[in-house]
Amino acid sequence: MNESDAPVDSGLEEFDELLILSNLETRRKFIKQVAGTSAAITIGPALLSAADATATSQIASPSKSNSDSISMTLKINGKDYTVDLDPRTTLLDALRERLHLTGSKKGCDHGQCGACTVLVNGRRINSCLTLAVMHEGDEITTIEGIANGDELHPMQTAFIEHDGFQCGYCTPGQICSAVALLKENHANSDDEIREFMSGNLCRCGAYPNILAAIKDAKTKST
Amino acid sequence: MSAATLGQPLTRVDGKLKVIGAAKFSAEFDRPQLAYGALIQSTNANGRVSKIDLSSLKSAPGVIMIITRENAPQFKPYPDQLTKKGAPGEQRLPLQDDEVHWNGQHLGIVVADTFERAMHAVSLARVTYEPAKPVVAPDELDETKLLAPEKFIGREELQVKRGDIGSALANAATKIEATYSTPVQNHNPIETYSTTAEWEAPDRLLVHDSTRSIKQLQKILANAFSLPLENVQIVSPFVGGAFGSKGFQWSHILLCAAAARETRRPVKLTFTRPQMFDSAGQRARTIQRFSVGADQSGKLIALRHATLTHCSPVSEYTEPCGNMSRMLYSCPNIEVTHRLAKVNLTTPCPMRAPGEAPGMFALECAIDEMANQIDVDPLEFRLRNYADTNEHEKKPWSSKQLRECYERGAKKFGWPKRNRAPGTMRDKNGNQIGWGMATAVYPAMQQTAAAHATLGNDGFVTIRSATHEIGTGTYTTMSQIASRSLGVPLEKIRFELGDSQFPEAPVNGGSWLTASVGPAVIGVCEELKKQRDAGSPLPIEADFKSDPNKEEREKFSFQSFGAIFVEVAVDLMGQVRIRRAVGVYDIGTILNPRLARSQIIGGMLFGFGMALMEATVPDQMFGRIVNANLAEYHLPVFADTPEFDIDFIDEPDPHMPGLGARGIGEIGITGAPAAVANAIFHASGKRVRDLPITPDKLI
Ligand code: FES
Ligand code: FES
Repeated sequence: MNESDAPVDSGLEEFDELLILSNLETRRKFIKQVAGTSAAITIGPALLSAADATATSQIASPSKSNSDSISMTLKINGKDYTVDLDPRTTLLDALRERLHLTGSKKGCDHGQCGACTVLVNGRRINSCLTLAVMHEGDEITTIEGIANGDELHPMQTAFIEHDGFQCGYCTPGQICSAVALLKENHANSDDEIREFMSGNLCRCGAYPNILAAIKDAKTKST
Repeated sequence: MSAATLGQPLTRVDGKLKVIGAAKFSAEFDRPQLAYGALIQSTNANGRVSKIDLSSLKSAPGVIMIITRENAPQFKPYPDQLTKKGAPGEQRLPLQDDEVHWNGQHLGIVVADTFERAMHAVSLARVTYEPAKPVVAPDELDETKLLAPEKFIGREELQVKRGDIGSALANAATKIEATYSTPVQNHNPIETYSTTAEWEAPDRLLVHDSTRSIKQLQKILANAFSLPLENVQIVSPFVGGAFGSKGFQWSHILLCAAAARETRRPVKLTFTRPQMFDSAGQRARTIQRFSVGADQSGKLIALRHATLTHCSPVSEYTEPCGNMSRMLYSCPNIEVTHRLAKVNLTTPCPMRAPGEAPGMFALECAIDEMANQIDVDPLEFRLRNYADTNEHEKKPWSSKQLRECYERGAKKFGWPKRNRAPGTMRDKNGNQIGWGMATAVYPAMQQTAAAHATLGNDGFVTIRSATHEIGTGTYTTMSQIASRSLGVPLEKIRFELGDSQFPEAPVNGGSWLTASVGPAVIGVCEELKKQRDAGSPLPIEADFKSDPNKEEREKFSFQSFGAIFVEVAVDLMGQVRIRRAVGVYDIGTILNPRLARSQIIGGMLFGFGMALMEATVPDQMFGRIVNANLAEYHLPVFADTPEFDIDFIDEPDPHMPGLGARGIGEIGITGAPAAVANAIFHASGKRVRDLPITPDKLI
């Protein structure tokens, strides 16, 4: 996706998830799909004991290939992917485990590290905290879609130039986050950048270099 | 660009792969028919398992296989050299008995066809126990039950006496007694452990693992499954940070490989974040008692450093806090002791600067306290007690430019303007401001390493070694070394690592990678050059193995040094912000200043986290970690980052092989926690001796 045509809905970032869920169409579909599966999101004891009855040996036979999965189409980096998914699949696991877009990383699976940051309709979200099924029809951009073909995004170039990483595991999330940060207009001072990038952890401690990279990319893109 | 590549601030050769999301980490290899593993874990910290009820689990959708004690394969015991006294990692093999030693111990593995189904299935296991009361804190044990380990990983002496400490303390003009403590800490690289095991044939095992010890893991698996070494292949081209984790022997890798064998499918097992706290290593809690004495002239005459720490019931790994106290300062009377308690917490292992990080926190605070007591500038006090030789090993230093580090650092920081009295500086918002400093030190070690090189028809040079890229820049610096040695442009060098088929390289740790693999790369390039210059037809190949220089090591003591200065602000609520940090380091030759600076900053930030926020909190009744996640175990985030000013002496160590580089991965953390604690004392007059220094300890 081209950076400039991502819609920006300023001021409502924090309600992102809610807004997406409250999209009636999606919500209805989501509920229907979940309710129609044997492995519901909230698994109660009754369901479990029903399943219990068939247990015979230590080695269970592999179940029929995902009878409880649902088909959906996800639009990622401008391309449509149609995939059968367990409705419990997070967007992150759909990307990494099913679509082999492994650029988005899993660091915590709980919205605590930012390694899984992707852009959904131009806004940064933690893809581990949202289910894939909630994103049909959304424009999803992952690290694989940040560059323009072979031409790196200025943020990517700046990360290389300023050594904005060591192990590189947090990096795709940092870059997606930083790209969104510039659009949010939250890169107006060092402290503002530090504050608005604090959801992306880097255990290697590349923060000062990421700060320099963001400032550099900002000058280059304005 | 050729001969000039060394010492230049080049950007990383793997940088592009990392910024486009194409660097493949171990969990990201797509294998046919991949199945997913999930671990059944103990919810008790001590006792025995009486029953694992798998009835609902067995019929959960997608479940392919469950391995518990009932049907576990027999693993051959770990090889001796991995489990000798004090070795890191576990001595106990998984699932061979019913004993439970800590909360979170692995009791089985469930394999299902998708990740979601595996995670759901594992939640259905119901375990019943014959519980016993766990011991969770080392200080709960009475003295007689403590171990007194002789050596740290068979290397460093842990019980050391020099001179007569008793009478020296009795005669000291100034004396302090103080106890410092550091909590359990976890490495928490952002990439968690991940293993994907598959059996390519009944006697051939391929493993993609997030390991920083490829060759060791190959041995561990070959041994456990009685396979010839060459039938086990470990692949690990990129590791998402390690900091001491992702080495050694841990049960999950055996369980994953066993599950793959039983299911005849590749099985991927990736740790959840909570498992990073209970499944494969951590830094143990330490309690360190100091008695320090100085004479009239402010010269140290007595230093006693007594450490109490813990291991698990199945390991005797000891956090070697006192190593630096043996020799960092000149002092005729020394007593260093370590006591070890076996407690029901997961097995500890090295974490960035094992021993030095907590030990130097305590030592460098004690030195600050002494300086304060005799009312002399803490830097001046250190200079008065400067060690011109290693008094413990009774050897000269290979080279030591610590004086220069102090001087340059003090100047950059503005240290001479410091008012010694605590609590005298405030900023315009009323925050208390404090300046603190500490010494940094870390051993410069070297291991055996080898490399293979090919110069192809196309003029490209490929160099291979079974070393690792954990973020330290191995791909880049080794390419730079090869480029310089051969006079071939960097673009024509391909350095390959992360495969056990490649020639031997050591575990990536101990800050020894460059000093070990560097000479192997130089050596193999020299061999290649000889053949090339002799006009041998292309392609040509060469091999080289480099061993540590034993003679030099007998003669000299090898240490890296540094000085760190920090400014903190303490607000009314006791919240500490680190404003700026200056560090000057003597680590021998700098191969790439850009990468070196990054790594030092990373180390210092690691130390700032240790100083102000990091603590793993075990529940005292049940030994369960109560904050096993990244929301409650606080790592430094962006907003915790100060301004850094980093500088290097950049002079080769004449006795280090090859390039005179000493290593850089760990020294950054040493000294950082003490510099912060000392600055907090200077700001507030409050001496906090228990890490982390959270606001409750300051108000
Ligand atoms: S993996 Fe999503 S925030 Fe950590
Ligand atoms: S680069 Fe390693 S975690 Fe950020």
